[in-house]
Amino acid sequence: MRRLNAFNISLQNLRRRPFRSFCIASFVALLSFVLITGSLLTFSLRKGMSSMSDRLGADLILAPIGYQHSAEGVLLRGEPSAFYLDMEALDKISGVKGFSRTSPQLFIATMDSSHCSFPVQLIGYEPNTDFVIAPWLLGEVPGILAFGEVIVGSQIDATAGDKLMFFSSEYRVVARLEKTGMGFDTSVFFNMETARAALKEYFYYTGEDVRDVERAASIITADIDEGLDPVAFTREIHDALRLSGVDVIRPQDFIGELSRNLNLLMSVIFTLTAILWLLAVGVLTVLFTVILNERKGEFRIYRVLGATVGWIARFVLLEAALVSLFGALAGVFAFCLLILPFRALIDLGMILPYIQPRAGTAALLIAAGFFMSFLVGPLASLYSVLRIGPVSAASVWDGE
Amino acid sequence: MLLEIRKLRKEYRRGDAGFLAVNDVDISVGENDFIFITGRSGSGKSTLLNLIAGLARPSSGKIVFDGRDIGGANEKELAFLRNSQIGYIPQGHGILFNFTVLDNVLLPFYFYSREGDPKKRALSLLEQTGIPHLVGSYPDQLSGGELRRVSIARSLINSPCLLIADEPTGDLDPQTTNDILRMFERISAEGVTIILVTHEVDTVSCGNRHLIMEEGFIREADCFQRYP
Repeated sequence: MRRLNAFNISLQNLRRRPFRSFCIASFVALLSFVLITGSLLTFSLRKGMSSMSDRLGADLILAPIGYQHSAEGVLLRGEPSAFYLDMEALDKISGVKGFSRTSPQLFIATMDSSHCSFPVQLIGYEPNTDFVIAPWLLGEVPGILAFGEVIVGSQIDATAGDKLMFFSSEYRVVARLEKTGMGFDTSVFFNMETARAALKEYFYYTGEDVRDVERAASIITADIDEGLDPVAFTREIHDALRLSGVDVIRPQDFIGELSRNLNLLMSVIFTLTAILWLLAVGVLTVLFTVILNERKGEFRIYRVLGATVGWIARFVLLEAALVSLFGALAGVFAFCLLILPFRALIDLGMILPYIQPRAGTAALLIAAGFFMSFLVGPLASLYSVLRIGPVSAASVWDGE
Repeated sequence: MLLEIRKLRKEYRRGDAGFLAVNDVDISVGENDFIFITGRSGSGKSTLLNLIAGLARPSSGKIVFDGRDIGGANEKELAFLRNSQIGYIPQGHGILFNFTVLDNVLLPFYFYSREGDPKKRALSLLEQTGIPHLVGSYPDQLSGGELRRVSIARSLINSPCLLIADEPTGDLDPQTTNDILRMFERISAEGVTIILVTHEVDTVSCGNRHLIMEEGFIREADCFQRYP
């Protein structure tokens, strides 16, 4: 036979007040859902942002003056863009001492027309000198990336063996990159030979002047010699290359504005979540106080039957904890049902640097959100619990 | 003596002024007494019961229960006394509506660690109070008389030596009132001391003593008269 202990009594009280219990649990569930989703979103944005400069994989980016935002758009957000360094600038760059390695990249923006499978950023790179693209390759490229072969970013809907059409040529997909959380995810990569052929077609369709296509490059990715101070070196060559129309950009400068915007966004998310949490504690405190007054008679019966004030307090706290527990669990369940299955879609839809945490970290964040929302019930009931003594005490007014 | 009350006072504040709900009360209650306390509403009857049960603290005076002055007992000791030695039937139905009749009766048994299965005794008490068929019912399905019977059965679950009943027939029809009083008679016959408070003088149809309470003071009725 079941014992009528505080746990069973609390459970029975919740069961016999289904509407009240449901409303409180739903409120906590909503809070739990928002806390977990908010914390995962914030974490993913923070992670995406903090690792962005690392993920770019180069100490410096050399781009034409005035195209810093375009370069940022291509590299960070995959916004199709096309711009080119002057030939003289390329000559000048090759003469700079202090670079340990350099590799050019060529940007071509495809068109939203029948000439292309879809509008996307095409990036030509030099596989022999590259140190930026290769680390993201999923598996090995079979042989050397040959003419007409492409590698696709993680969000491009194509697999090895698929054919893609850009301008008037077909290209064969041979490999994919893993998710980078940058513009690379929505880009297609050629070797320089293929890229230059595509550039000729691009010029043909856009009607732009044909440049020295054989030497064309949009940016130069560069690493500097070990021991050099990146800031001082950047300042030094910045002045030297500026006259040749070359801007020297550190990846940290790229994400400066983005970082400020994201910090603002994360502050807003954090503040709203904190306000919601405090609001939940406040609303439930008021609700529990109203319920306490309604249950004065019930508590007096417990005391009449021999329960101590401490016992009643424990059972009221337990009741609040149980309803909070059910709510917090429901919130986790809702998160697993409504958010987890759509992680990939959220990834796709995010135009911000966004890296979802690994399973272990995600589980920790879920546990933290669950715990914080679970705490709301017991915390909100504290005021009521402290008032149980006076309200359950017998008085002449109650009796007669 | 099971209960001795000496110079008991309970003062309440009403605005700036104080008033004595219980004023210099002296009572001696012997084992197996069945005492009726009558008086008008507001005369201090329920306050007196609350003081005896340790639900309220006296302003002054002494309450000695079973040889022990309970004035110095702490809240836990008083709660245990109420649970184990005093059966209290509160004013109104005093039933918990979220629990079945059986659970209501069993509840006081589980407040403290006790050996044994109380279900058999609970069923027997429900049998004695005439409602064995209502074991699994919820209180909102019961009449006023049935609720009162549940309350009486519950007050006896821990075999108390003193039973306190606050207006146990207050809102019942004459027939049900009579049934309830006969039940108290049977309980008294089993050796339980009873103090029953009522404002209806005509319900004093049993018991061996009749006390009258007026404006906080208590006195023995001039002549003990049982109403048929």
